[in-house]
Amino acid sequence: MEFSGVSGMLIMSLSYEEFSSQAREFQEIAESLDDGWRLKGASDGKHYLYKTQYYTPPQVLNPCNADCSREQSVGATDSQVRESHEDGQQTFVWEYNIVYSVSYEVPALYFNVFKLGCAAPLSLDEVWDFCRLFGAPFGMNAEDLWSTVTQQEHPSTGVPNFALHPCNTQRMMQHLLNSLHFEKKNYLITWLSSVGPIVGIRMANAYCPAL
Amino acid sequence: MSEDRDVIEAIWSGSIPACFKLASHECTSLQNPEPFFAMLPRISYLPLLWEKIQRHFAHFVTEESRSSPIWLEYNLVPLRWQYPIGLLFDLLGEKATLPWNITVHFNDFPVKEVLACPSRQVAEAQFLNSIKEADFLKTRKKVMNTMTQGERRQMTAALHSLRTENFWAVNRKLMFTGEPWKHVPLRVFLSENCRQLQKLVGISNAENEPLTLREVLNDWIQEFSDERYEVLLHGVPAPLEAPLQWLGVNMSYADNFLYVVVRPK
Repeated sequence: MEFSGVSGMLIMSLSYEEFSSQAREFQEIAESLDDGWRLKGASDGKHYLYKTQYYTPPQVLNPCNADCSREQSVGATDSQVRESHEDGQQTFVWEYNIVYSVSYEVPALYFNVFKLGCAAPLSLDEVWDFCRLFGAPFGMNAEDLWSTVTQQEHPSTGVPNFALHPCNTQRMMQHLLNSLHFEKKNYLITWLSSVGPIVGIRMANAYCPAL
Repeated sequence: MSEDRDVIEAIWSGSIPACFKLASHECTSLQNPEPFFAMLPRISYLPLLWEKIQRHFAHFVTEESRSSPIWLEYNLVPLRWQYPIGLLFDLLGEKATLPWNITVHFNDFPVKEVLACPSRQVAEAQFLNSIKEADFLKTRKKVMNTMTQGERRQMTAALHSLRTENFWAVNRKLMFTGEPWKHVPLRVFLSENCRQLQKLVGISNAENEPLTLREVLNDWIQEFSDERYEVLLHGVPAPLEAPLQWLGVNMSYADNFLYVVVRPK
């Protein structure tokens, strides 16, 4: 991790080596919880974390119903998923990827969303609807979406994914560092628990050693 | 250092003759449509042409396909529109067989290979995000943070109309930042497998001398040598001994990235 003063602001980056080692520790916790996160090695030799999650909103993309939404983790059985499908409720499959951004020197969240049984991912507009739904309780400004979520190629696989832009990650981590005094070794977990909720990621308390 | 006008003018005037044909199995009319010919500016992007191409071929496909987003393919490889045209040609095309024969598709959009581009706004957002990323590498985004909406619009409009001077009136701010660049926005593409390499690279080597492109390629590519590889930048052999920052200022694409193509000889 690098701390250097630019224009009086501290800059907080994470090297790939630090990312990779924290991703391995993350996987160990994930394995003990069996929550679906897996560490993958790409053909370019780079590591990234990956998880598939099923999500069934009670009424498709109705932000008014956000509070009564129910979540099915990757542990949900096929019959549970089928059952909700038969109720006339659409189930969505979320594929999350935590990759390393070379340019921004920080972790970045890439994801795709599919309707269950459908090969084509949702469109940018449909994904934005989800982000508005998930992000509203966290005060996310819908005007910011163009600079927050767009489609990008996965840096290792080249497959188009939606990406939460990493351009402000260093600044955000700086604020968190000042206010929470988190430690360098918890960078990845602190970051994911901050940005994850915008795309429906919830993390078990077991990830946070301080709790 | 100031920019080299001659080099920049030459890069901005580079173009590739292209011939667009509708995929034969998608044609539903008895008569095959005439091909669509265009001179493609190397510095520009394919989405700027999409409306024209779509209009040209729309009446030869089924009614339900007509309004679906088109995608382009060369030699069975879908063209990734977010990269500049010159890079795509250097990576995939063959100089010996001009015009560049590109196939136009209305059906079966390859969602696992090509980013969706439903509007020009998406293409422009992609372009500006790329400039932002380059600025982050050079200055930690200090220039983009002070850039007005008007200046951003001026850049996309000038790129569209190929007005080099209007573009550089804003681009100069991104290039001459008043302090040494932290990193040089550089991506190297290997034509063998279309793989791209990106690592953080500064402007000086360990001896504190200006870093050259040759030093970078020696470091990034196993057994790199002039005998084995041809290195292309804007369709011409890249000046390997040139300092990387000089290349970054004068030979970057419009999104401020240097895209270097390495092909086996």
